[in-house]
Amino acid sequence: MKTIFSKNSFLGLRTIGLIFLAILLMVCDRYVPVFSAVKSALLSIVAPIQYVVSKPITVLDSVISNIESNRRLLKENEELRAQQLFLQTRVQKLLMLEQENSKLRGLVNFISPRQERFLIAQLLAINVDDLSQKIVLDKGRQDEIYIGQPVLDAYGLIGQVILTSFNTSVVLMLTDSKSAIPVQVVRNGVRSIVVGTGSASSLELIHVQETVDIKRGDILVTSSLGGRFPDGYPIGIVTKVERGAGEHFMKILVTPSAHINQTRQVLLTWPVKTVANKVKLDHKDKQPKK
Amino acid sequence: MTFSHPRSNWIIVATLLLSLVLMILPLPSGVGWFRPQWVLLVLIYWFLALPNRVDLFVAWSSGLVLDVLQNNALGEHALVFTVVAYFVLRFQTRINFFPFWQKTAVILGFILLNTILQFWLERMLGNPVISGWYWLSVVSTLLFWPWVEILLYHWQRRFNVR
Repeated sequence: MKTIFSKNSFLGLRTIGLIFLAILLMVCDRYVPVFSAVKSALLSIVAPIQYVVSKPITVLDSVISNIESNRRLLKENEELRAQQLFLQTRVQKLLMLEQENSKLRGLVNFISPRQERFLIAQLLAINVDDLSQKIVLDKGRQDEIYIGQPVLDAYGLIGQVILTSFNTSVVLMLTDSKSAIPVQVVRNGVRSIVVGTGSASSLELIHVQETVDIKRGDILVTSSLGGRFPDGYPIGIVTKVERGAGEHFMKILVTPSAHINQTRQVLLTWPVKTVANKVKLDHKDKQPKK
Repeated sequence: MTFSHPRSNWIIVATLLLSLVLMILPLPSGVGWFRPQWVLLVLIYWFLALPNRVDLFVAWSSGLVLDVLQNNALGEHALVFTVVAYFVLRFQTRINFFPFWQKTAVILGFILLNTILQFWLERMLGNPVISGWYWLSVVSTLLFWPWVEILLYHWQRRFNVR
C-alpha cells in the first residue's frame, strides 16, 4: 500500500545528505577541539551497552575464582605475605631516600615535589576495536580523569587516556601504532621516542642515529620532555638493535615492561608539575648578593 | 495510511542492540580478525525485509553508535552503512526474488563494498590497516549471513514485525 510519497522516495538525495552529514562529523571530530565534548557525551550514552557486555564476564570470572581450591588459596596467601614483607622493607628504604632527597633539594633551593596521587581502575571486559589497541576503564570524568593522563600497571606504563565520558574512559595503549612516547635510557640518559607497532610484544624506537649509544638490554623509562608523562616510569627493555648498511637510522625493537593484554586493573596517576618552571621564578626573585 | 507498530520497533532496535553487543564482545587475541560484521548483517536483513520501516537514517545512526563504541572517527561507519543501505534499498525488490546463490552473491557484494569502503576510509584518516587478516572478516561475515537471516526471519514471524 504505497502512497505517492513512499518512504523511499528521494533515496539518492537523502543518501547524499546523510553522507555529507557523516563527512561533516568526521571533519569536526578531527579538527574541532570542542567536539570531544560531544563525543564524550555520546560515550556516556552508550556506556550501558559496554557495561552489559562487561558485567557478565567479570561476574563469571569471580564465580569461577570462588570455586578455587582451599589449598591453592592458602599457598597463594603465603606467597603474597612473603612478597609484602619484602616490599615493605623496600618501602622503608624508599621513604628514607625520599627524605634525604628532599633535604638535598632544599640545600640547592629546589622545591621538592609533592606526593603523586594514584587511582586504581578496572578494565571493562570488552574489545574496543579489533584494529587498534585500546582499552576502556570504569573510571571517568566524575573521578577527575583527564585526557592525556598516564595509565600504568604494576610493571610499567600502559598508555594514556584519549577520551573520557562521565563514568568511563578510553585508553590508547603504547603498543598501538598511533602512540608515541618520549623516553630516555636509564644507563646514559639518551633520549628518544618510542612508538607502537600494533603488536602487543614489541615497540620501536624511532629516529635514532647510528652514532647514538644504545644497546641490547638497555632499560627505557619515560622522560618528562613534553610535559605529558612524569619521568621515571618503566617503558621496556631494548631487545634488538640493527644497524642497516646505508640507513640513516637504526632499527631498534623494545619489549614493553607492562603486561599488555594480561592486566585487569590499572593505575592512573596525577603527575605533579615539573620543577623547572619554579626554579626559573626563584632565580628572578633572588637579588645578586653584593 | 500505515500506523507504526511500537512493538515492531522494539524488536528491530533489540536486534540492532544485540548486534552491537556482539561487536564489542571480547575475543581471544588471534580470533578478533574472524569477527563477522554483525551490525551490517542485521541491517541488510531488515532493509530487505522491511524497507519501508527500516530506512537510511537507521543505518546512519547504527553506524554512529558503532563508531562511538569502537572509538573510531565519528561518522566513519555512519558513512559506510549509509552507502551500503542506499544500494540495498534501491535494489531491494529485485533481490528478494533472487534464488539462493544469486542472493548470496549479492550479499557478498554488499559485504565487500562495506569492507573496501571502510579500508579506504581508515587509510584516508591516517590509520591504514596493515594486516592482511583484515579481509578475513569478509569471509566470516558471509558465512554467518544464512544464520542471521534464518534467526531474524524466525523472530520476525514470531513477533509479527511488520
